[in-house]
Amino acid sequence: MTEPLLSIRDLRVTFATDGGVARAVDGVSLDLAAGEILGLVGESGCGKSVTAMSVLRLLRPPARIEPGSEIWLDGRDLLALPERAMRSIRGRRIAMVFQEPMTALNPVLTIGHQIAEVVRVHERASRGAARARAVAALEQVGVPDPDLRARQYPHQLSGGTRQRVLLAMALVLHPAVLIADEPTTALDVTVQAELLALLADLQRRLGMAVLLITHDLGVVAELASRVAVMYAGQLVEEAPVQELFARARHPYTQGLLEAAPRLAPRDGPHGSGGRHGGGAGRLRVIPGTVPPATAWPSGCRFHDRCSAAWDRCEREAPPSHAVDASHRARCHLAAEPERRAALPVALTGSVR
Amino acid sequence: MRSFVVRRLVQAVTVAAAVTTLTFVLIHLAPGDPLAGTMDDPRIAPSVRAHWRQVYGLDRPLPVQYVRFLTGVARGDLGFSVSYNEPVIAVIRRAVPNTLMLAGTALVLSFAAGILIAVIQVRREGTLTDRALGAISLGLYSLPDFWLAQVALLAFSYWLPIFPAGGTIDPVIHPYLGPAAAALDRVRHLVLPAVTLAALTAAWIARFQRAALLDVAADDYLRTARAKGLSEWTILVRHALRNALLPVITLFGLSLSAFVSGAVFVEKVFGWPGIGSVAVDAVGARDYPVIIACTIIGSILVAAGSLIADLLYMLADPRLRRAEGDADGGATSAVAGA
Ligand SMILES: Nc1ncnc2c1ncn2[C@@H]1O[C@H](COP(=O)(O)OP(=O)(O)OP(=O)(O)O)[C@@H](O)[C@H]1O
Ligand SMILES: [Mg+2]
Repeated sequence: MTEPLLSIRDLRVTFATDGGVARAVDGVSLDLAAGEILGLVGESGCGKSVTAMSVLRLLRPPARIEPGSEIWLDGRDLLALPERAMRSIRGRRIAMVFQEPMTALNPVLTIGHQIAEVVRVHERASRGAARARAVAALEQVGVPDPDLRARQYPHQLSGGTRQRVLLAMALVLHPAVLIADEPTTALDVTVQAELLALLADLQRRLGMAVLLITHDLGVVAELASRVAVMYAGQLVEEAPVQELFARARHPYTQGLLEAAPRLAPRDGPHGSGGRHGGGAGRLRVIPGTVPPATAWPSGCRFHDRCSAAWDRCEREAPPSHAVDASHRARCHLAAEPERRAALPVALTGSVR
Repeated sequence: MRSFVVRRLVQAVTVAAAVTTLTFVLIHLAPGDPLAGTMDDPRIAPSVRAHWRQVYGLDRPLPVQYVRFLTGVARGDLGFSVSYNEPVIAVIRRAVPNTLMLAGTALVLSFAAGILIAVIQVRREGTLTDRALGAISLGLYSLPDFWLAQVALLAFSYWLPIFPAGGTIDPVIHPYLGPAAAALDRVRHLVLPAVTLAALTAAWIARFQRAALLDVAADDYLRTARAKGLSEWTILVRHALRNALLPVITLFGLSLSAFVSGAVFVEKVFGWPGIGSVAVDAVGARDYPVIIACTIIGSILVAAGSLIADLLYMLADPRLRRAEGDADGGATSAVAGA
């Protein structure tokens, strides 16, 4: 990989809660190269959004980014910037699209105003010029009748259009990095597909880097060039997209792949007949749930849910092993090939 | 929108009529009448008393008096004031502009100050500034208005005589002042009563506005605004406050009735010749027609206040402005913006 555009180094974020200190993000290092789409996946609560919000420093107390964390962009550590300098990055160099199109727009301001605001705060643009840019941005994201829409309020638009508006708002200044936090989760399937196609198209045209956060491995398969898998506040696996789908090394990643509707083998030896046997369409899910961030398990954080775990996993936290130059996995199996060979086929990375 | 206004106007008239009737009945249930003070003197012959009561129609049965009163009101005739010795309408016409001036100024002052205090508090949430302002507004909020008025009068026109003690103008020098000096004279007279009247409401609005601002503080669109690179002040004023104003606008109607009743004491203390002063004097003099007229004016002001509040609310919240296109489809009549 070439010199990364955005580089997250050992990011640690804690929340002081009543139940103790939640280590929501616990030592994440992640590089985003110019022009690539990096998928960030993982179950709910594993720290994807907190990671994303940290990049723009949008977290508010009780969240705390621990000292020692670094996020580099343009040769500067964003976490060390004064607030004023950070503001000039937000919306201009790094933009973000959020999960909830219904509530992410201000209900009492017009769409045009909300987009033009980004232009006006970062550039000395006149009201009219900013407005024209807003209309152009709406047009770019495929909103029909952009002039009229610019004069409307969020409640007058459908969910899909609102998400397009959020995209227009994020892209109006052509940022180098776009962070999209589950941009389509709240939308229905056809609208989702349209928006993802739009996102891919814009990414190509504007040449920006995208950190695409999602639950949906199908989305990742379609759009991303690389994938990072998160579990319990840590990255557990990272690989180019084909490599990951073909040879996932971490049992957690394998579990996610099996649970993905469009990717799970429909008629393979494990698609039916297993624990959830009862039809070819049934999915396997990873047993158990993500533990609370206040009490990550000892050793490997996944060991209590892992069918391949042995005593070492409970005792000793695995480091992130380099499987090859572009593939890393945080699993003892990656260092013990003999043990891998002894495992049943489902856990050796032959999902596809 | 138009039908809404019409409906609210009908509502306002109904309320005014009900309040008027109630006042009429209550007043007549109380012993004594407007002539009691001057006429119920053993030295005045009963026949003379009876004569004057007949002249003023006070000898008729209550329902008859009521009907006569209503027909008068319908003709714009509010009756004749015994204590002022002139038509009630003349008394009211003199007093209403003064009250509107005082209440209007207090209204603007209280909302401006209350919202500003709340914005500062929220910007400095949890700091000493926040807590100090909170304590001050809680303190003000729990003071009685007549007490505050008297203390203000004592403090700023007696101990520290920077403001005049009463009236709307200086009767001696006002006629000789140029336009600018005359206006200043009016403002100087307005300051103490308006500030006193505004203070309590400002404290009330500040507490309410602060809560409303903290209520929207976790809303998603504020996070979006932050991600755009806006400053905290811009986010607070343009995004949070615009939304948090909505519940406060509903206070507008309520505050108007607070001003109308608050004005009664404050006007009296500062010798401000408005509806409040007139009402207090009329009660003392048992001047029924004037009392009833004041009640009608009061209920009109309150009804107007809540109507204005509703209209402001519709103006401030685009979701309530109907007759526009809904989700995507109805783009035809969409003329939102502006
Ligand atoms: N405001 C908060 N207070 C306390 N803990 C929090 C808060 N926000 C997040 N967390 C903690 O951070 C962890 C990670 O949350 P995050 O929102 O990043 O998950 P996610 O991976 O984005 O999940 P999802 O897919 O549901 O969006 C949560 O499990 C929770 O413990
Ligand atoms: Mg999330």
